[in-house]
Amino acid sequence: MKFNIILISFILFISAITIKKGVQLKYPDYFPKPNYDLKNNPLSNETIALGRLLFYDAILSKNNTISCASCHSSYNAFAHTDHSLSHGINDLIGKRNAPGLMNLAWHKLFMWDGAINHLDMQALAPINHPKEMGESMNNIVDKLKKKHPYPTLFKRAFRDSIITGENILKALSQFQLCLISAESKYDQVKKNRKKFSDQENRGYVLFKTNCNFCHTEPLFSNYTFANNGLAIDSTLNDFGRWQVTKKSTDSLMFKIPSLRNLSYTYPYMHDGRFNTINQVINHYTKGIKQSANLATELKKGILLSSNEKTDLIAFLLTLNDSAFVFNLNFAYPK
Amino acid sequence: MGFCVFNKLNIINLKNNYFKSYLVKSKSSKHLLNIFRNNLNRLIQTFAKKYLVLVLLLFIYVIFSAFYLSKPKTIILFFIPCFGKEKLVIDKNYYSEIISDSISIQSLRFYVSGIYLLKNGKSIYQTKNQCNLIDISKKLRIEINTKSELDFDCIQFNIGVDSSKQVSGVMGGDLDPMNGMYWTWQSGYINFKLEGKSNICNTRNNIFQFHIGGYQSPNNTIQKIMLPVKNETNIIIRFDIKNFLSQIDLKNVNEVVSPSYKSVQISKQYANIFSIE
Ligand code: HEC
Ligand code: HEC
Repeated sequence: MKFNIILISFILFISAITIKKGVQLKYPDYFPKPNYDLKNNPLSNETIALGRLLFYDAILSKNNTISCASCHSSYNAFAHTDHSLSHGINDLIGKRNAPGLMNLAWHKLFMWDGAINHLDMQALAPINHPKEMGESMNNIVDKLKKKHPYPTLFKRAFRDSIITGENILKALSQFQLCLISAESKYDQVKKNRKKFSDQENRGYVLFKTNCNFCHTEPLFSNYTFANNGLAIDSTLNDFGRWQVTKKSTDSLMFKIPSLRNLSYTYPYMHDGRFNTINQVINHYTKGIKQSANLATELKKGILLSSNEKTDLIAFLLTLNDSAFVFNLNFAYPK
Repeated sequence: MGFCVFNKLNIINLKNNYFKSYLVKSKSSKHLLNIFRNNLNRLIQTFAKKYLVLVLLLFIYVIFSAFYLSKPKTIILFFIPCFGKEKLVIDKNYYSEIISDSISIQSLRFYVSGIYLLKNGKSIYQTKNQCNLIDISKKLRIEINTKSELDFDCIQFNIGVDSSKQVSGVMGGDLDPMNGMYWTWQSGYINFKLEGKSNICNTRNNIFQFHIGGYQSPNNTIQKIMLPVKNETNIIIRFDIKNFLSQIDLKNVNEVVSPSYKSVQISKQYANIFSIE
């Protein structure tokens, strides 16, 4: 009797643990701990699939023409390459270049100026027009309720058939959290599966002395804000972080982007002003504009010979992750 | 089993004590008492063995009834919107002497969080993680379920969403961003939202809009409110929009819709329009 009871409770206990565990984010052990708290939004395969469907569905826009993927294409590491400034549904978005979406679980704040404080809340920004908050999110719920197969998918994912704003946003987050880029050549080297060439090794050394302070390994950003000496574009007058905090010390500070997948995410910088990695490197070596908020690491400028530039670029190219870009699990759902 | 062993040990202990203190007493009386004690001992043991289940049940019953005797109690906060002495109704025209013009209100909603009940300045009850959206056209009451009868003389609450909730991602219910109380282009809840019309406003359709929020210093707009109350089940809290608007130069200040220094000032102004009926 006693033995039986112990056995049964043991089995129940184990199954409870395994059921609760669900899906985990998969990332290499040299990545830091993610910033996103999965406790409030535990991953499940159903929810991830639902999020993917929503991400690719133009139903999220007012006139059913634009989806998240219109500006964040999987083949561009989820950036927008046709336009230096993404054009779309609201004037604010029209001022900036769409960044690639990867390793979002490690970001602390979102957008070039950090205006969004949580991944869940991010989708509201493209979905809603600033001065008509709340209204179109309600519309989306109504539209989804009527569109097959969403009601069943929501039921499967969240165990209640009511489609809510909360659940839409949680599903979108779950899909985006899965967009982890960790299979580049750099990663293969880290995992001892490949070796850098001599040139890439030289570039790695240059990278560590000049860039790693901001574009910190292994995510290639520390996700803070900095002024990297870009001259202000007077047609845009985008003051970056200042627009959120209104602190003068934040003027012209922008979120440091990751350098993974650069070959796919051109054009570069918050306003997409550079089309090639070469132009970016030239900016760092001779284009830095001095200003009060310029990062101290860049005040003296970065000195690189033309050989060193090619070495550095060779290293940066090892951060391209074609396995990520062509991952069928992230592409348009068939 | 354990029960019986415990009893036995206890009785042996008692016996020892008895020997120590009554050493001077006569042998015969000691003997008699000993017989009595041993019998009692056996009696308790057999009783405990036979009725072990019964005793346990009794024990559980006592504990449970102790919990249930303290009946849970519901305290209800009623929020009553007013315009001066009148009750405030949506879209109705009210006259304000201060601006010598009429005013109507289209929407009015705000968050109430961090509710405390206090006695002599000490917190005796606090709501856990509760954040309620009060909306003049939908919901004007908050229920507080306490575990037991409470004795309080003061209520404290915040107008606004506390900062921990501001950064913890999407939530449902009253905090669902669909409620139109969330800024989408820059994260943060709108703590207090008042929209209306007055001819004094030189704006499109004479509209005035106050979307007051912001949770980061120096533009933190969450406001703590403390009101002395009677120890009653229904707490009726009036808030006077006429009083609020009379503190504002409506002709010049009629659109405050993002976190700023001005929002903080306005949050202080609506913080003092609450009173207990
Ligand atoms: C019209 C083009 C457009 C659409 C549609 C769009 N985005 Fe974006 N997205 C952008 C731009 C531009 C930015 C950068 C905005 C800024 O910094 O102000 C951005 C930023 C982001 C970010 C922040 C990335 C970072 O590194 O901080 C995420 C996440 C994101 N978008 C997800 C989505 C999702 C989810 C959707 C669909 C609901 C979506 N986007 C729809 C253009 C778009
Ligand atoms: C002081 C911090 C800092 C240092 C050091 C730094 N960067 Fe940057 N980098 C930034 C910031 C901030 C941005 C975004 C600026 C903007 O868009 O306004 C950026 C943008 C970039 C971009 C564009 C990425 C994209 O997706 O748009 C590239 C490429 C880049 N940096 C490469 C480098 C290289 C290579 C080095 C070393 C030679 C380097 N950076 C050193 C802060 C830094």
